[in-house]
Amino acid sequence: MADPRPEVAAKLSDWLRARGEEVPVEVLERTTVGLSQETWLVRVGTADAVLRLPTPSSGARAILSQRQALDAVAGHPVCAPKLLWSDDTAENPFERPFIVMERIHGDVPVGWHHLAEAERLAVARESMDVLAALHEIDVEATPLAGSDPSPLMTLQGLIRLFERVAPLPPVLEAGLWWLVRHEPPAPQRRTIVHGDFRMGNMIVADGHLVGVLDWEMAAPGDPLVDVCWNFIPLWTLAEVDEPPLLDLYASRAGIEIDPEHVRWHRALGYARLSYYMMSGLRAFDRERSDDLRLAAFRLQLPVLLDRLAATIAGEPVT
Amino acid sequence: MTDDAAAAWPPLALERLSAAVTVLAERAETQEARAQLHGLAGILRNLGGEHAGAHERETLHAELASALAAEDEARAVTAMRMLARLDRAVVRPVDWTAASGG
Repeated sequence: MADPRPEVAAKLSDWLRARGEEVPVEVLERTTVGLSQETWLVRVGTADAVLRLPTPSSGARAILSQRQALDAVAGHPVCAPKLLWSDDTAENPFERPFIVMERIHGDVPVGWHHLAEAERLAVARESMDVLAALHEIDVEATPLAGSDPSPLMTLQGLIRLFERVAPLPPVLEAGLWWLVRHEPPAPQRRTIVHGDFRMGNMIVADGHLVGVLDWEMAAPGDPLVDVCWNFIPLWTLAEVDEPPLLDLYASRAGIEIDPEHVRWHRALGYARLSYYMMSGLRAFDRERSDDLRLAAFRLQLPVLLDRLAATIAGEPVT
Repeated sequence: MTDDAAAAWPPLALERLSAAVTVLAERAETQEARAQLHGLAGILRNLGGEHAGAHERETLHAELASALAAEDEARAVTAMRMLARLDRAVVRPVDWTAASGG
């Protein structure tokens, strides 16, 4: 297969030239081969940058919402990459919307447990500072004000998604039943919610949180979604002491957090992760993907449902 | 006559096959191939294990369904917890760090 990088570089270069910017563009590599978005590491002039394009499965909205989010949080201390260029239309050499943002150098650990204990604690505390700063932004004054939260972030949305992958395991059915019975009232604070704020979307360098990625799910919503999702383990436990971190967030945000609301949001988080597993294994079973890891998701489902049940029962999660 | 003697060919232990695939994964050149093979190793290790504890599972299913129908939350949570524990207990570990990262 021909190396696609020169063509990608030529398209970005053409687009910049049409805007009067004559700068050399070099495409270094493609960082992900996934369903969500195309991500290319590029060099524009002397600047390291990241080019993101939608895929058929992500749809153009993933790029548009990300552009809106990066605009909304620009200038705030939330470790978001700076947006350099963007095109919301398909009237460009890529024939689809795209964004180019600054490249933040560092590591992207896939889980909290990948960090050494001292570093984990420091980054966890910084992540709570970032969340407090993010949730302080006046969402009504940003381009996100009219956005709807992803269905993954609300119980009603998740229930609709689960209808697509029914029948559900009995533990999950019971978990959703409990979530409906205990759903907290609408939050008093409506803030920008990142929507996928977790290790795996964070860049760590020299023991510090230096970047937060993947803003495409950002929308107005309940800040506890982010706070509780931050440490929910998809695979291995985060191994952080959460109560002091919640206290830190509450102190920074100047609010009180109801422990029962935290429990509910954690249970919602495990339900959301269970949906990821069920939709993934369904994609394999229905021959939409030959990724063997999706087939293996059925083996993580009982682990996540056990954590869901433990959370609901008020037991420690293992 | 043992089960092995009745077999058309010598049975293969899934755990052994899984271990061999794990070794193969470490020799694979690309990150993608390594990740896929680690995923396959996890599947092989668990193949056929989903029916373990079937009788107890059926009993707990019935108890959970009954509790939900009666809207008896305490009973439902207890049955859900026991069922979840049972389902998890029969899963043999998958190396998700390797399967997700290669």
